Amino acid sequence: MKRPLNHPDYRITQLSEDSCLLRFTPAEEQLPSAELQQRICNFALRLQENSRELQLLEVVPGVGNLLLQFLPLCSLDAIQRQQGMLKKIEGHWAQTEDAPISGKTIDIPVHYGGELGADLEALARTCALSPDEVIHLHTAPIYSVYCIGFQPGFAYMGGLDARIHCPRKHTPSTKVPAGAVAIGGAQTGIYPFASPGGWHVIGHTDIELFNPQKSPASTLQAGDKVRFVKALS
Amino acid sequence: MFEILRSSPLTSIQDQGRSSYRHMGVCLAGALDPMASQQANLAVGNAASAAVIEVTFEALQLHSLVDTLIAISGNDFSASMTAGKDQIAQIPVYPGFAHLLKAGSTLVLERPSTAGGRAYIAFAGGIDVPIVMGSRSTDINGGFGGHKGQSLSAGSKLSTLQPSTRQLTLMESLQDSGQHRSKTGIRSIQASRTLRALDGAEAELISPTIRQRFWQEHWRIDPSSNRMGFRLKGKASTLAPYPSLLSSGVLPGDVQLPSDGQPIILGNDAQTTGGYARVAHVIEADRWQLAQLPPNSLIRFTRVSLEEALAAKEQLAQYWQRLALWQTQ
Repeated sequence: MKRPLNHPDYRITQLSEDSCLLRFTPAEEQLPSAELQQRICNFALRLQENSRELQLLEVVPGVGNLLLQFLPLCSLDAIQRQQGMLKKIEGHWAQTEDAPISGKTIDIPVHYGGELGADLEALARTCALSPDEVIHLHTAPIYSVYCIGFQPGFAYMGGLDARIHCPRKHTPSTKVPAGAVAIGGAQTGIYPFASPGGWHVIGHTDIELFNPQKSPASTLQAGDKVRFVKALS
Repeated sequence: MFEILRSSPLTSIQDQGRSSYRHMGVCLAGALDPMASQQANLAVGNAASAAVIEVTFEALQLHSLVDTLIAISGNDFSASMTAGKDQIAQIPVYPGFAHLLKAGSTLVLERPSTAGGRAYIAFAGGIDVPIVMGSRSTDINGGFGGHKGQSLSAGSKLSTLQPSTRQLTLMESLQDSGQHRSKTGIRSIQASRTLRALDGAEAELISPTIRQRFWQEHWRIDPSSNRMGFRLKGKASTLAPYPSLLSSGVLPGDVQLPSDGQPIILGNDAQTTGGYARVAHVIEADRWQLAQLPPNSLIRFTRVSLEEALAAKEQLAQYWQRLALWQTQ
């Protein structure tokens, strides 16, 4: 049987009866460049806008990759349909640029430290910095939302200053509160819902990150820019 | 309108699930055994998409305030009902048959015949809860959908959508003839312990020895398994230093192999992205069986091609077509 031809920019792996993964960087590699990730997010947005024509049910950006799930079909037609659609999708990739589409930048006020940012001091010690220096380094960059996952509305963000990278906890906390702003490895994120978690919680925000009654339900989308701002408490 | 008198913390309202929001981190949810939920819906004459109660592991009891038509499918819970207000005689409720549940009656699902298996209760018209992000399913982790985003508990009050003319006619004819149930029913399907699976997305990153062992081993379903995932334990632990992978979208049915070598089959409520190597993907036609296998069951995987997976799906679609045809006769 014919398998889809790989594109010079990505490799296609079949995931299930009706879905495949487009990999722009090898799975075991380091993070993709910010430009490439931005282009993947723009590509995802473009495919979502054309999802009806492309018969796509799900378009899910990951880090350096993109999951595509087509509308369910029985029978061997599904293979031919997928091949045809992947050809069209290739055309969309060629027309996608790496410049941010909407340029949406969201300011997120954060209350650093205290009871709801209980790991701030420990993280500062690990990084040989003062808590104020950690706050300064965390609020300085403009972050890129790489993808949403783990929880509804949970944004994985890249752009964290290397001085405050910190390996995940050996033993995850049993309950990280909703709104927790945290650092895990080279990434930072916010927990929209209370859950167990292995990231270091350095503060919390009051803004709503996910509301199923709103459209879009998730405040942050892959490709958005985020700035953390120290909240006045 | 009916009221839950007794429930378990894992019993919830589900339909066919929530699609096209995975890029926002929203899981599929939906009936873990879509075969059984669809059978229950078909037995009462509902569309396959109607919302049902997924009864998980423990007893359920409810009280109906109106005349309605119900059907139960999936795991046999030795169900029974009373025949209206102030009646105490218990009438058996057979899986796969439509039953007339009269106003004032109590429906009891006593105990599962197979530990760990799930039952589905369909009501004529389908359960009326708001559609949230395209589905009536309960997203238990996100706390939305279904009945106020939560599992059902004693005191939960629910209502159904308007039954169709056909359903009302069947209710009337049962009422007039003094019968409790429909003449014909739908036979349950036995869950198999061999699951067909495709190669996983990162199979080639896993050493051939470990991959081979994965396909040969009899895996035990750990009792900690739930709607998010089925954890498997093998005889020999296959510790391997897998590289940590860049996060990518994952799907229900994906079989992840974390570094402890104990696979996890992702369930309907699994998170939408992951970073573990995927050794296999359980095909859609076989996935429902996981909802019905008791804890500590031993299962195996058989490797199939994409063509075989699609043929199995096609076969299932034909089964539903035949049933639907029978139902409208």
